[in-house]
Amino acid sequence: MKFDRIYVEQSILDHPRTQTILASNPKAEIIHCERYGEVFNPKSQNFRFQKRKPALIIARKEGQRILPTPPDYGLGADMHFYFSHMLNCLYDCRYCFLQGMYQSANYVLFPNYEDFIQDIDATRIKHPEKELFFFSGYDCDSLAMESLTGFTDVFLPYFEDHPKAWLELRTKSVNISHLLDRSPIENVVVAFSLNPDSIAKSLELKAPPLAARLKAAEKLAQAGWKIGLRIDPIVCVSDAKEHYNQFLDTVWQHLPSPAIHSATLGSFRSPTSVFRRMENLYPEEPLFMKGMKNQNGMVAYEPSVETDLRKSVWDGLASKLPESRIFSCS
Amino acid sequence: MLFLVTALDCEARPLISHFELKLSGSHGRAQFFRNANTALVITGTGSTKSAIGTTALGLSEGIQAPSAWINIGICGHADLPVGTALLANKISSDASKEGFYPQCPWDHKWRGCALRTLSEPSFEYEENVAFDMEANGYYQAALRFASSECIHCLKIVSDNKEHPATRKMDKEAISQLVESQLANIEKFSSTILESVVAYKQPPWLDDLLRNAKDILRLTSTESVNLKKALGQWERLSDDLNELAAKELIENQPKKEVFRLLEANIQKLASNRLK
Repeated sequence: MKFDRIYVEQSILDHPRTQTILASNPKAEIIHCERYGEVFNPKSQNFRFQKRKPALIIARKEGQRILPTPPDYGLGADMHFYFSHMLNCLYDCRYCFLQGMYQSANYVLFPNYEDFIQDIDATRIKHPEKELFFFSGYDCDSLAMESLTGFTDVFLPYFEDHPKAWLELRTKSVNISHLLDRSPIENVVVAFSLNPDSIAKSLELKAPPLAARLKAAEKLAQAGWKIGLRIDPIVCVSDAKEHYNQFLDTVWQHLPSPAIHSATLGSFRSPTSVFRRMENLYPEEPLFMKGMKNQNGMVAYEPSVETDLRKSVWDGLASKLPESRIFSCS
Repeated sequence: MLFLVTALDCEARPLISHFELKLSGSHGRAQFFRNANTALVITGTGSTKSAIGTTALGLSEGIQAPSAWINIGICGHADLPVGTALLANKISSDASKEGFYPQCPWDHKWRGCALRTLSEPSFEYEENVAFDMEANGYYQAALRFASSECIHCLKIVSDNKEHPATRKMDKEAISQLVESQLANIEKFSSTILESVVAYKQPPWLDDLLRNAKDILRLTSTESVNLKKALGQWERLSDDLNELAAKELIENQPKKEVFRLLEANIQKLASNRLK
């Protein structure tokens, strides 16, 4: 990946991963900053404009690197955590909370992976009897920028050595060659974010088409990797039930039930302030106009709009998967 | 609208001539020039004057979308040749710890450079940074009127270690430096103005809302909601016109107006979301 501009925090300039990225971008303007927040956080920025050509910010992740997930988000392990080695994503999904949460669409990369690993290890040691699940890909796509980040090169070997700790790589990417080049790891789930093709085309901009994602998932499953299905958020389009039924039929054609570690079903939900920013960025976007209700500081679909669809998709998943492998995120 | 900010008359002259601007007013010593699409202010030298002139221009024109703001002027740099044009990618000053990072998701031909605004003229140079006397004040002032991606500083090297600044400026040489960048300035500003997506509400909407407020006896919140709903309806509909909107508002009770609007929006949004 090439960038026109790379911002670098002084404290991470000498890190080998920083140096590798800078060396592979010899034409980029290198701009030094003290803390990445000086570049990333100022309010007078426009996420939509920056999305045209995001810059890269390389920073040291300080403070709490591993965070517990909210109580409703889990895959049945004893404890669930998430961490973000990057902020922002290569793709431009119209429903994504990132566009409303951050002022800037620039990518922030935290290359001090060793600190993340240290914190994951400390968490694991603190809970020796528990099964722990660590989610990457909450504030970014886990695999889409692998050629830049080298994320899996560092994190997969760690999880391979610690089988009681699980890792989820959440992605829409078909960038899987580095996974296929190695043996699958029992406690790593490659979780694909999926939606019906028509929704992917209209709302998951710049992301690979559904067919390509399913093909990537199929290849990984054949190679022995555990696959996750992440239908999050469900989008209430016209004839949504039909779209989702057809979509699940397509999924089953590619992925037999035993290959699927888990499926999750999520609803569109957003803090009101984040939703307002998304609306302001894309005032022409019908997604933000249809069937949404603002209640108790959160914007979500009205139950009358979503409940039936959600049940239908759940039933569709349950027709092929045991319910113990289906999880709800709402 | 393109907004140009210069400190000196000799920096402004080539721009005034190229964009065919006419004197349009003043604020203190700051002078305004404009045509239909471009406005320029000559602020005088120094960060404070630049901030005042920029603010005055912005206030006189109002917040416009799309807009592009460019501060154009000369700078010193240790080793870059005279005539090198630099687009500031970081703006700092000797008067404050705060730094600014103009965001540039647009293509351009210029070299990027850190820029430090000095309070006093200096004849000393540092490596890897250009020096001027206005950018910091200008940039902070312009942030009131546009987002970072649309506010830029273009500085052309007028002096360096080999050709140090002198107390007396060669105004003609400065004009020539600016003139050498006119084509790039025009292209860059067009790129911004064409790329910036700005939703323009239909010209009749404000009048309609004023009428609706009287006819339907709307509260402030209801007015805001009606404006939002009419805007959504207009963006979703290919053929919404003033007459149709007027008919809806003038012939129904308030509750029914909102119900019908909501129903229309839901239907149109459903049709779009397939």
